[in-house]
Amino acid sequence: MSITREEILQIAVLARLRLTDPEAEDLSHDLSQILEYVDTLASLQVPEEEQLGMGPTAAPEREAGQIAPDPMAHPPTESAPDFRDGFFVVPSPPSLGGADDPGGSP
Amino acid sequence: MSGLTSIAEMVRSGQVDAAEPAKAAVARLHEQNDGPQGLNAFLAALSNADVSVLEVPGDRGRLPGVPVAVKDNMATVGFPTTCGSKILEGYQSPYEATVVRRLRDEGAVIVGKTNLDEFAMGSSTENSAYGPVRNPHDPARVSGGSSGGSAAAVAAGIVSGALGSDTGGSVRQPASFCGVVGVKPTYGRVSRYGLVAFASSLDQVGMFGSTVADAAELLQVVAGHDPRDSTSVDRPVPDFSAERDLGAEGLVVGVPTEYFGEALEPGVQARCQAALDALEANGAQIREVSLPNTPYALAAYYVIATAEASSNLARFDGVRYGLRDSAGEDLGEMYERTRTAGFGPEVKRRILLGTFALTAGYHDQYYGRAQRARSLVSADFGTVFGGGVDILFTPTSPTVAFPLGERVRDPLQMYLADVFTVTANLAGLPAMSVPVGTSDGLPVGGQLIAPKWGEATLFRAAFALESALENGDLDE
Repeated sequence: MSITREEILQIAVLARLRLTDPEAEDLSHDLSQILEYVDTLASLQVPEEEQLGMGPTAAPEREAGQIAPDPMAHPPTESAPDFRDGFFVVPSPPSLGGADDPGGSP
Repeated sequence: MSGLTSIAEMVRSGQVDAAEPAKAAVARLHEQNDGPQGLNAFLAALSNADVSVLEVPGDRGRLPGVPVAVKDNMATVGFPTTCGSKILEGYQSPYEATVVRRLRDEGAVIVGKTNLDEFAMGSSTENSAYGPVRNPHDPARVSGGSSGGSAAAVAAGIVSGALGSDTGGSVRQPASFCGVVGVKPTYGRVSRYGLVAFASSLDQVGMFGSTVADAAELLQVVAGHDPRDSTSVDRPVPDFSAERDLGAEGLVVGVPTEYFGEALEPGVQARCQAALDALEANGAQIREVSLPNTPYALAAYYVIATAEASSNLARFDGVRYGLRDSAGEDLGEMYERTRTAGFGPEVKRRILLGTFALTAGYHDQYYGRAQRARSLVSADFGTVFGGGVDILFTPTSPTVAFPLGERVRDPLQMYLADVFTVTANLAGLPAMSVPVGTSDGLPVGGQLIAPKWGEATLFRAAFALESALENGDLDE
């Protein structure tokens, strides 16, 4: 797998990096060399049951009964003066006839 | 005065003033670290003036007054946390990493922050924006990386213990190059809260010691559940020092054939064979085993680690941390200008590689395959440990420390320095590098790998190996 200078420049835009022409040339060479090595993965023989394996550390181990609600998680009703039907209730803005001083949550 | 527990005991018993070990360490630090020919192992440190007014309680915790160094990618109040990068130059964290807090709670004195490859990306500490670390055994050679500053600080005798981080071998490989002990615990054994993330599914805080006992003491202090890190696991922490006198009798030591191929330097091969002979002479049973998916590990590692890095490092954009170049016309331009000016060449290379591996057209070809390879590498270890092997022994690195500048322009050659260490990170296993002698005067490390949560067995084997080699001829 080789990667062109133009492709490098496109990826750099995604990564929010600016590259000079010499940098793009060098990186094209380096990444092509690395991807050639990474292509050893193409010969990987994967058993059927391993097809969706995502590695052993995707989630920490927990003993049964250890999983408790996150103490930092609070329902929105506890965070706002008024919460109805899935919405935070706020004073109407003055342009819609509300009071100048809302006196409620922002 | 050396050894963490010896220093602690002398302070606790009143033999020495509690501030004295830190004063001595700081004096050694500036003598060996500073100047153009110095080690450059520290990016920030206490001054002699700082330490002269230090108040150290002599009766506090397990490590009263014990000087310790911390890799500069862990949030530490009172010191900058730069990650070896210009983008975080002078950055002061408002909070402290759990591991640093635990060291201080046990009485340790943090004497300085150690140099590293920028954002822990590298195998020689030549990628630091603040210059390379010199190897105390030969100043013309690298100290290894990415935790090269911590390894050099211990090897030079500045401190007896230091913290590092290990994403693909960044504690074990520099430990091997510098002739000290380096431990990577099981993923989840030690909190990552306050460790600046490189590759979150692989990163783990590790520790260096001048001896196995020093490394055991540091792990004892920092290990354990932390509710601030959702990947830290709540399970008991064994007493690692209790393994000291159990010896090698009856231990089944697996030797994976895939780690002893042609790439191995003859001197490294010879010292590792001598270490195995010493273990066998002390009652261990040596058994040849196979980990057949090892050849895929390094490729999988560099896809997964760079993919995670490209995401983790997106936060460094000039808005929240450190450097900001706001000369552009809009927000997008500020992001680009800041990141372009702040990141070094290796960090840019890895961000681009990771971004590429995650792009829609290549995701399955690279990231998907790498994740499947990771599963197979882990399954290999499961098969071997399930077959009666207690511990695995391999070389830590195929070579001894290489000359400064030799590989810095060849990233693939540099990546190959990690070929024996990345497997433990992919599988989340605990592993340790133990000095097994020298080749042409340069240190060689042997790597022990244990089953998940098997640090007690890891330390038992390491204590036994250290003891078995104590009186042997360790030079090849």
